[in-house]
Amino acid sequence: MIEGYTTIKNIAAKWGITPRRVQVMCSQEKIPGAVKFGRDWAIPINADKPEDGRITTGEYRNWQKKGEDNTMADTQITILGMSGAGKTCYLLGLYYKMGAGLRGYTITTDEDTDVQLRDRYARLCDVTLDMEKRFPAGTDNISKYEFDLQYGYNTIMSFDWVDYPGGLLDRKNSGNLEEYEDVKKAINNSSSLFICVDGSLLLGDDIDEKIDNVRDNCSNVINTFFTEYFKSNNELPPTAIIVTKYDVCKDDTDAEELCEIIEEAFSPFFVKNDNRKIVTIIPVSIGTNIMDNDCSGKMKPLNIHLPIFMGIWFALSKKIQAHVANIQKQEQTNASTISSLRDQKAREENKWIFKSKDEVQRLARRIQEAENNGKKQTQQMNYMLNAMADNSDKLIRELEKIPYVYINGERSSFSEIVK
Amino acid sequence: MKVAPIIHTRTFSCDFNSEFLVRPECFMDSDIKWARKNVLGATGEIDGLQGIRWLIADNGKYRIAGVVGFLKTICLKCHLSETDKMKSEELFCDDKGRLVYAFIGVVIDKRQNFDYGSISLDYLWKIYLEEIGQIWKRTYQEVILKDFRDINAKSVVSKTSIESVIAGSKNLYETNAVSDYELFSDLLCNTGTNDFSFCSNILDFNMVKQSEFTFITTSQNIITRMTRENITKPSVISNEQPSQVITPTDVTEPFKTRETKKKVS
Repeated sequence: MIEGYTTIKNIAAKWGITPRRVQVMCSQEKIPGAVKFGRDWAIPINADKPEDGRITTGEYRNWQKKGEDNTMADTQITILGMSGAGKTCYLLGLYYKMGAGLRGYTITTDEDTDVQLRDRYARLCDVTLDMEKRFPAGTDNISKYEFDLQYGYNTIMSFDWVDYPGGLLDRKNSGNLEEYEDVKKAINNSSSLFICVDGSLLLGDDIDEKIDNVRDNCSNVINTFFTEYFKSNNELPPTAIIVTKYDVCKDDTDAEELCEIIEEAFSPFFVKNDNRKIVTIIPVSIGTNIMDNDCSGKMKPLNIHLPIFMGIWFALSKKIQAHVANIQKQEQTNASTISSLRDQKAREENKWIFKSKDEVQRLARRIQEAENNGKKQTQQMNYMLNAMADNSDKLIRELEKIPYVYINGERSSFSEIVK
Repeated sequence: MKVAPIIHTRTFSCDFNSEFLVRPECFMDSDIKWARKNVLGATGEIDGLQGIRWLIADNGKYRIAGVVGFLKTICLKCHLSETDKMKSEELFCDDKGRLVYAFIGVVIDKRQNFDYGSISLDYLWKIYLEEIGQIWKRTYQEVILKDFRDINAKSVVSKTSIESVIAGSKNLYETNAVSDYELFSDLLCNTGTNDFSFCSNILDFNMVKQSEFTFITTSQNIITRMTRENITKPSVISNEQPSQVITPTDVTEPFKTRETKKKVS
C-alpha cells in the first residue's frame, strides 16, 4: 500500500462499518482522495467518515443487492454487432493474444473464467477440427466478464465486458425486457463503444452493394443505440468500428475502399457538427485463412488489441481528469481551512485585551499541521496521478498504430487526440 | 399424457427468439420467463458441452422436460429413417457455418395430468423436425403456438442408486450419459415432487455455482469443490414464482442422498 493510504478493510475497522459499505462509499465518490487501483481501493489514512445518507426505512431493503449490481470494474466496454458478426470470436482472439502477453501488457480474469475462455480458444487454435467445431456456436445468453488490463503485472485498469446474442439488438423491447435492458444499460454505461462490422459483408467488386450490406446488416440497427447513448450521456462515446474477418475480405476491399464504405454506411459519425465525435476504423482478424473451407489457417490475431487499448486509454483519461479535479478540490478545501485558521489567529493576535498566547500558539500549530497535511496529500495524489499518466503514455505508444482515426469527421491521427 | 412442444433454437438465418420459437398457446409471459430462465441455465457454456444435457423444471403448475445439445449430436443419438436423416442433416449448421444447438422439450400441464411418462430422444427429435424443419430457411421467424395433445408415454420404475451430495441448496450427482437419462426419467415420472429443477452434465464450475437448479449432475472435481467451498447462493428477492428447495425429507426422493458434513442450511 502507498504511504499515507490504507485499505478498505482497515478503514472499515476504524469506522466500525462493513468493508462492503466502504467499497460502496468509494464507488459513489463519497470519500475524498480515495483512488481505485484495479479492483482495490486506496483510501487516505486521515480520511473522514462521510455521513451515512442511506434511507433507513423499508425502501432501503435489498440495498446490498443493488450495490452488487453496480459494476465494480473501473470501466465498461461494450461491442455492438449483429448475430454472427464475430463478437465472441473477437473476445476469444483478444484473450488469446493478451493472455499470453503483448509488449508487457496482459489481460487477466478469475481462475474459472480463464479456464473456460482458454478452453474455447484452444478449440479455435486446433487446425485439425472442422470449421463447425472450431468456431463458437451462436450466443443465446448474456455473459458478463471482468478483466484487468495489466502492464508488467500491475493493473492499469479493470473493465467489464458483456457478450450477448446479436439478435437481441434487433428485437429491442419486443423480447425479454430484462435482458434487453441489461444490454442497453451496459451500452449506456460504457466509456467506449465498439461496432462490429462483419468483414464477409465486404466481399465482391460492387462498392454500392457492400455499403448496402453494411447498412442492412449493421448500421440501421446500431445507429439507434448511439442516439440513446447521446440522450443519456449528453455526448457520444469514443467509438471503434471494428471490421472483423478482415482476412476474408481484404482482397476485395482495400484500405481506402474500406474507409469509404464505413464513412458512407455510418455517415452520422463522419459529419461535422456540435457533437464531438472520435471514431476509429480498425480492421481485425483472428488469423489468415482461418475461415477457409479446409479451415487450415492458424490462429494469428491481427490488430485485435488496438480497440481495447483505445477504450482503456479513454477511460484512463477520464479518470485522470477526475483525479485532477479531486486534487484541485482538496487543495481548495485545505487552502480555505488554512485561511480560516489564519483569520482566527490574526483576530486573536489583534485583541487589545484578553489576548491568549496559548490560543495563538494552538492556532499556529493547527495552521502548520494543516499545511503539512495538505502538502502530504497533494504529494500522494500527484504520485498517483503520475502513475496513471505514465500508464496512459505507455498506451499511446501502441495506439499510434491505429490506422484510421477521425476527429469530427476529419481524418486524423491518435497523436492529435492526445494533444 | 398430455403435452405441448416447447423449442428454444435459432434457425438457418434467424437468431434465438427470446420467447421460444415453439411454445404452448396457453403460456403467459410469467411462464415464458420462468421457462426461459431454466432453459438458459441449461444452454450455458454450450461450446464445451460433450454429449447432451437433460433438463426438467417444475413450478407446481407446469413441468418442462427436454434435452439441450447441438442438433448434430442429438440427431446422431437417434434412430432415424434414411429420409429423416437427410432432412436432419440440413439443420446442423446456420448460415455462418456454426453448429446449431437447441432445447427441445415438452410442457406438461400438471392440472391435466396425474401420471407422467418418460420421453425419449427420438420423440423429441421428431418434434423438432416436425416444427422447425419446414421453417428452417425462413428469414423472418414468428413464434409457433401449439396446443396440448395426448401422447403415449410409459412411466418408468426408478432404477437409479447413485448417491447425491448436498452443497447449499443443490443436490449434486456424478454425471454419466446412462445414469443422467435414468435420473431424468425418474424425476420426470415422479408425481410427488413439486417446484424443482434438474439439469445434467454441467461440467463448468461457474455454471454449477451460479445455477439455481436443485438437482445437477456434474464431475467429481466440481462436486468436491462445491462441498469444500460450502457454496450457497444468496437468496434474491424477486417477484417470480418462489423456487422451493427440495430436501430429501420433504419429497418422495427417488435417489439416495448422502449429506456432507459441510452442509449449509
